Amino acid sequence: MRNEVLTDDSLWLCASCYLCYERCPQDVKITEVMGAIRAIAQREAKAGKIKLNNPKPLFDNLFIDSVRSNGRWYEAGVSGTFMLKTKGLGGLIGYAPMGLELFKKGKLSILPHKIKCNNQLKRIFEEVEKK
Amino acid sequence: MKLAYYPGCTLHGTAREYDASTKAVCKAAGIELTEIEDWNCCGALEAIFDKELSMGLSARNNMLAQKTGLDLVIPCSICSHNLSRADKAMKTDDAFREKIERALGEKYDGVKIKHLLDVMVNDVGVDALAQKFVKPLKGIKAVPYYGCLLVRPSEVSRFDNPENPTSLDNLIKAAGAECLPFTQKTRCCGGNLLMSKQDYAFILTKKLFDEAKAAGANCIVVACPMCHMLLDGQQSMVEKAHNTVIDMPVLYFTQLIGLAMGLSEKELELDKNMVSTAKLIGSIGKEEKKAEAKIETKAAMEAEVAE
Repeated sequence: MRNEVLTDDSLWLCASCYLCYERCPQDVKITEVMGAIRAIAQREAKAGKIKLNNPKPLFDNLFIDSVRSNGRWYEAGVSGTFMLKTKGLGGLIGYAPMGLELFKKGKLSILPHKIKCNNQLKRIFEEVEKK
Repeated sequence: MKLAYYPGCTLHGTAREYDASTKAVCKAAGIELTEIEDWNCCGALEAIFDKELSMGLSARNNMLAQKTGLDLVIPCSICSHNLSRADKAMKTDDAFREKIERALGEKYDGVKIKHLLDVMVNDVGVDALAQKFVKPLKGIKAVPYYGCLLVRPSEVSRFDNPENPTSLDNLIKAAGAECLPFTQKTRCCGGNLLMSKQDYAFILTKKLFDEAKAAGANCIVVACPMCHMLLDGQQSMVEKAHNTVIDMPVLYFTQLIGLAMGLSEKELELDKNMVSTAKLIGSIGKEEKKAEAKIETKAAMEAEVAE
């Protein structure tokens, strides 16, 4: 049962919309339960015990890594790397017209925005990752 | 009214028109915004697998906001959700607060955090705003789209009804536009699945367009940059995936009320929306002008007959 739950694709299909969370008559915090199971699944995948096929954890990790190093979400970098890793060069090229459109409207920055006090953020990462 | 302002990453990027229109309507409504200095990303929904990390990222922003001594306003539903949850956790979970205070070397007492829609509807007030509406938006037939985190979970977002919210409805009506009934108003746009499961995300997005069209809408009004990304930014991709034509402008509520306030299209950055808003804006007051012209012609004809 444990492996079935941890490797099931539906774990990564939750859009975190909180509809079930809001409506659950037993007050089960379903969205948070999903988050907790995702954490266990990621940990077991890292340890090589299970294999995850859904690309969502990869995206989440790239996203958080970009926040860790810049303090802000680096959209062009994260999306580009994700496309390249999941769909290869063809996927990246397929994404290019949308990226170009956004760039032309001044909505996409090629370089990441960096915050000044990233050391504060580093200490927060250290504190919460001390488990 | 003076407020601290947390724009969040998207408002400095893909949702720049939300940032511009927020600043423009706040100024017009007499709200002075002070952007908090050196803010960081709230982690969006990508840190949901680590609750402490998610709230730790947000907690630093709350700490920065506390220094301003002002209440904090946030236009993004995801950021507003995260920073509100972090504030609650800092007040109720001593172990968590100690970690964050240790990391930042400062004490936390709490900050009052509100979504921009809440501020506009409940602090400024619909009636007071209506006084500033100089251009009735006749011809705009809008459906109000709230999405998920603007009103859910109700233990975090308390300013409207989680099942049938009405604050956007009231603003649309006050602006002189038609507000159509929309049963999908709090359904999910699929935003969080956009990168990882695009076909699933677009099924959810498509449902919103179908319902909006069935209701007879000529635009959708939103209060979240993620909803806007799916409905506006990705609309051409949804059209391609479902082999259909949608052609539905999607306005931020700040752009809508900005138009009613008589602010310029440039100030509201209406040219930055991916789906063109030109036809929609051109239609404002047109039916009325047509009707006026008809009455004038009729009167002229009657006068001629009388002669």
